[in-house]
Amino acid sequence: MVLLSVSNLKKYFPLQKSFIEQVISRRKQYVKAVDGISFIIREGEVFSLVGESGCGKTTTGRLIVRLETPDSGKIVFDGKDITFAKEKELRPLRRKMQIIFQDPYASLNPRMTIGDAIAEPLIIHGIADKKEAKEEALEMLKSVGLTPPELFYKAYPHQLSGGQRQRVVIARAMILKPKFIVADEPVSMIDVSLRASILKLLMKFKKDFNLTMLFITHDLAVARLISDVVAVMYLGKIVEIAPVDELVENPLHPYTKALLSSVPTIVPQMKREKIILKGDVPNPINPPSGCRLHPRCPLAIERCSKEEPKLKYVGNNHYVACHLL
Amino acid sequence: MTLLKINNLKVYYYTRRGIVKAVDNVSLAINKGEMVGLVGESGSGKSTLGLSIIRVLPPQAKIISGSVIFNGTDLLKLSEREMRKIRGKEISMVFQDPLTSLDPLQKIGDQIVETILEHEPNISKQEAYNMAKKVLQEVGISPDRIGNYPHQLSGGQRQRVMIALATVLKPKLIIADEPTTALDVIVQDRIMELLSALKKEYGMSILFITHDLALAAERSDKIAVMYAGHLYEYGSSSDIVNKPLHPYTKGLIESIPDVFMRKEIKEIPGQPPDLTKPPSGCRFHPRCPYRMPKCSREEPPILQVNGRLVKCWLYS
Repeated sequence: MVLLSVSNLKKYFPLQKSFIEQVISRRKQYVKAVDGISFIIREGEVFSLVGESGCGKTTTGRLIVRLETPDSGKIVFDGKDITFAKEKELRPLRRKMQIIFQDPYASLNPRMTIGDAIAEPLIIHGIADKKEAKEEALEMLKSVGLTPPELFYKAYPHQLSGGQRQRVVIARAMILKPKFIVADEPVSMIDVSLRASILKLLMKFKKDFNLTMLFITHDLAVARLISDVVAVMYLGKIVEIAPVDELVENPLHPYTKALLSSVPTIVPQMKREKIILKGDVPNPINPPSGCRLHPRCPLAIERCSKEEPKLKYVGNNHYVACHLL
Repeated sequence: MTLLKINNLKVYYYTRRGIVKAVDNVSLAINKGEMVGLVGESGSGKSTLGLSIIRVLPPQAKIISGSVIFNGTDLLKLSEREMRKIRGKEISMVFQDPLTSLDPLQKIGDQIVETILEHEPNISKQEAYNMAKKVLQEVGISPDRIGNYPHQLSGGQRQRVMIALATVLKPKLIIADEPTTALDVIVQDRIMELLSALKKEYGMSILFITHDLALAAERSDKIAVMYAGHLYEYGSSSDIVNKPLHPYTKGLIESIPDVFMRKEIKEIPGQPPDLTKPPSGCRFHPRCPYRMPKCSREEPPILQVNGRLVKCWLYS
């Protein structure tokens, strides 16, 4: 069953200009952060958005939980169109969808104890009274591995390490038993030896509660571990979507191939031939015409600069936006 | 041939919270023309080790004891003036963040020229400009960008300029401290390619400091693994990755996912220690699945096992 469907979603951010620049030129410029993307996420699935910085993956996550309002397109969550839903209408939905941010140092109120931070959502949503909320928070501390829970309940964020804080953030997101979580680079600020435990915790919740997840990451190795389906983004567009094993074993878009051939691995014999892209990622203010990769793509043909490729179905639940296929 | 030999180095930080034993009795040798990946988590002491080699430690850090023999000279015994002649010419450093390492108010060409003239007063300005152009070309930046300021370049290009600065005088050793951590994966791959090419072309040695074991394994000849201020294992990259000996190295390899391998990951229980109060004996013992009573009492010696070094009681 489809839990979330996104179609033709767009978000442009106006560029901040100085007063003088505004007087001289009337034309407003926009950063095309998300420029017409579509995908669906099925219930119980981990759907990863991967791409380099600036590709629009974080903006997509923020649009879906409606921390940002889209410019156009459609977001349907759990059968309800939430694209332009008002704050009041969103309130009850926030119980069902939660977001985990990258930086556990910035996600917690430094003046609130860990326990209060975890119990707070229950009280805000009127689900539990103070006493019940405390009990549930203690239980949740246990299930995210912060034991003894009584000790952590009274602790403040500064007394915890980055890994422990991220567990608190996860506990706070999970306490409402949401159906859907957006996890935005949840382990990229965590030390290497502690990443595994955070990833395993997320996978445990996924299994135990049939949680659906939009997982945003720049790290393809993490995506391989945690995802069922992966979408690759480049400059505000999705260039390829496929089940994770299919994507890694049979990448079709030149950008996906380039990404995969650059990822460090301890099994280098598994790497495919290298695809070298020319130059750097262009400015998202004036992205290239046609296929956005065409100025860098070693395989580009004339059509690529003129016509934008659409996502095409190529079998095996695999979609690619490339004229060469 | 050994180019750099660090012997029993101890570097401590004197902080308000107490003495942090960041590098504690570490020995490491780097051969000529070799890339050594120094792998560890944040707080393992890997950056401190790199900074102590060229003696640019922050003021609260002190080198307590040990020696750093570079090309036959103990760098720790040199005066600041003598050291300055070595930095940039014989040993240079590439840092993680090129934006804070480059002067934002100076054209990139001028920064390179300044470095050249500082060390080679006999070179004319014109010659130095030609050298700057040549080195920019070498690192993949068009020489007509010589008049650009750092902000006009992308992150990857800035790191290339940093590498140009570090390599223009063809030093014998480059210390690259997380040179690609701020960069995206495709750019990272190209920067690593560039470092490998320079190593090959000029026979430079590189100490590549990183938290990314897979990246180190792919590019380095050897890998040294640090944890909590100690060096726990040192050997060829393929040995370390395929047959790790130290339980920490094993744990690290089992805990990292890999894009080309479907595998279960295992977590290393516990957390890295607070280095103001490091655990007794082996510093990894509270997290080690193989610990023995001895491990918490006595610090393990460094043992030679199958051509590599490992600091663990399991092999004694």
